[in-house]
Amino acid sequence: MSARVAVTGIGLVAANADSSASFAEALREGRSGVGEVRGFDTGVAFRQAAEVRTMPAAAARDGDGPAGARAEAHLDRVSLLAVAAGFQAVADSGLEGDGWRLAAPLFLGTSRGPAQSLERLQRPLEVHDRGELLEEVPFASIGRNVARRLGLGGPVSTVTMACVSSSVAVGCAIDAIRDGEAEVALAGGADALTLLSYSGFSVLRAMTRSLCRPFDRDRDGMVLGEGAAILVVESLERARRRGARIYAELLGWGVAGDAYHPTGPHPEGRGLAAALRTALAEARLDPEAVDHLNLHGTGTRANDRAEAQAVRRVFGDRKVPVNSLKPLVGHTLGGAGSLELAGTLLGLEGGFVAPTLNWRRPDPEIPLDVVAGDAAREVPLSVVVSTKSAFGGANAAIVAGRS
Amino acid sequence: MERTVITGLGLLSAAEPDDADPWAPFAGRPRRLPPGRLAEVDGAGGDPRLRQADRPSRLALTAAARAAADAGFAGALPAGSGIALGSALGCLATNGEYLQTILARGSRFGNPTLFQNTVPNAAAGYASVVHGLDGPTITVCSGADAGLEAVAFATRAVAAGRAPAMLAGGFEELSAWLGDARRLPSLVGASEHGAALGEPGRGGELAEGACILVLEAEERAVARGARGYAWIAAVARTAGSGSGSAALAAARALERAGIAPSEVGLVVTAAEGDAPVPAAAAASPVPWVGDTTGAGGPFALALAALCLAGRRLPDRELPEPASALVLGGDGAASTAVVLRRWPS
Repeated sequence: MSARVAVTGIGLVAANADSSASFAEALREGRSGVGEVRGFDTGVAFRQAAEVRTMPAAAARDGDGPAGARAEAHLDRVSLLAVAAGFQAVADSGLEGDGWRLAAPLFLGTSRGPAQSLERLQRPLEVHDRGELLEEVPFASIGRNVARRLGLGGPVSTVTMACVSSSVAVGCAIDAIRDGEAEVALAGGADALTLLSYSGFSVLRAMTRSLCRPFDRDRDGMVLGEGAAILVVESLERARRRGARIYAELLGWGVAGDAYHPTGPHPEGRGLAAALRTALAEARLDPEAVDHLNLHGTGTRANDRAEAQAVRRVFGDRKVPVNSLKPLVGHTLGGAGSLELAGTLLGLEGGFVAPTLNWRRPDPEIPLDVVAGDAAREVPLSVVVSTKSAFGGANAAIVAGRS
Repeated sequence: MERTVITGLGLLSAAEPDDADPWAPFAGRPRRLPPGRLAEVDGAGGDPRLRQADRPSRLALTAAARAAADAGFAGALPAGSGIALGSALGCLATNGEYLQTILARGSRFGNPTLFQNTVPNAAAGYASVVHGLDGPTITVCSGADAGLEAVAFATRAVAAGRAPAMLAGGFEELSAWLGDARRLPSLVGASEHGAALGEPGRGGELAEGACILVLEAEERAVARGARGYAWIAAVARTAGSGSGSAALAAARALERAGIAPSEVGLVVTAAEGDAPVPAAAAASPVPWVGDTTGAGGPFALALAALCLAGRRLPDRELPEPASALVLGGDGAASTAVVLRRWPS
């Protein structure tokens, strides 16, 4: 008999919020964090992104962790984001003492990883400590930084699967709890705004020149963002025993490849449909049970159309309310899976579906019930699903329900 | 739970790089490896869909194609099959190359072809296109133990019935970044792990390579008359570095497999060093293929599987083992895999 899995803590940093409470508020009010990039010169004409303006104080308070490590200025921005989210998540969970930390694993997803440190190392005229920067450069440094500061004693896994990274990281945590390998795990992801991403998506012509408007007939691309979200994932039995606040139960997850193209999605959404079916089968739910779908919704023509196809393959003609959080928080790449799952779980708890900002004109190729407008749709929710898709043809889906 | 059988092995290393026979790297006595990167890695085999693949992807593609062929899959793997890959640094060198260009010429002059390779799962994406892998997929860059971590994911996928077969293993490109990172045992540390196993300084020559295995549900393997090397009886991962962590992982894996430590016929370690559990014999792939960091664990797994299938290392007398313990790790985690002869 496998263990049931609960989410008992949410920590996050996004362009429009610095905690789970402020995120729920921002989602309800349709408050976007998109603005002009100030952190660096993008080098291209379009300069919009969802940038985190102020790093939360928790990131600098390493002394709060049981390891007692002091703040270190050389940490890559992506690690600062992830560490801040990690501290918040633990505080939010109400877990007490240090005993639970001894065996707690961390599953951390990222796409670009510490690309800012890599960039600094390549700037020959910049004065820096090469040794310290080198420590930051591997993808694995983010998870190690978080685990060290939180005093986590379990294995640290770094999932690097582009935009599904943190969805898969959460999925791995679900498996670990179910199989009894851990009673408490931390899982999520992070990505910072980087020149690498800005340049790359620009030359691919994937960036919008106006507004990110997912599923809209006039959509013309994505807007980048940065952020981190880490969840405390715990066996439901343990969570109930200690009287924890339970945001949701994670009922199932799935990941599947398109086997179609290195970067583009399968036009019929084959992999996404497979991931959705796997997740629902694990949850032992029919598609009819799903009240809301949080989709990837990047705002690119190919992605949104493929997602609509996948939804149709799984849900038929039934119109499930769907949304995309990208106009609110930007595309946070490897952080998108856990950040947008967190937003969806907050909606599950609060009874709302956040709006797909900027959606105005329906696209006949996307026959979805897009939750639009400038504020959330208030609606009671029992079962929600969050899906993401990525370069490399990877797709992931996570099903959650009220506990 | 379904038994998971290893039915195919694909190795690409500095030892006998052109020979697809998985035993080829180990057939002779260990020799000094040619320095530097492998001379030529195609991996695409003329497939136009792969012409934009970067070097680490081509390493993985070569090993994946060899593994699939060795398992007897002429075209795609069965529907629903997937892929799990691990690498210490993944596409870090590719990312560095992209950045160099835009820092020199400007953000607008990035190479879109190169950019599509700046995610570590690019290799898995290319392989999924070639081999029709529409099932579970994961890429991890957790450190030198990443290859075995990927194998652990794949084993779970097959055992739980999520996939009929998985390509699973690791790849590592030799780059200046890898040389630098190796000096950071807390991040990448096959050699550090070797030291933890009791033999300081025996980490082996840094080398590039890829090693991918075909893992398959036993029922399907039997039904199609596949040849199997071994079956995976248990996997365990523990945190921390050093002999204590490795010993704990070994103890957990052996307990799950129902095997007493005294019954272990062979221990194969991803890095050279003394095994943390007594065994009739011990070996490591490092003298033959070098220290391939993220691919080191899968190379150890392949060597153990070959020995269980009857191959004998030329430099030592080994009894015919019925089971083998494979150990890998880095500065943060250790993984133990118990293999048993198949058919048992």
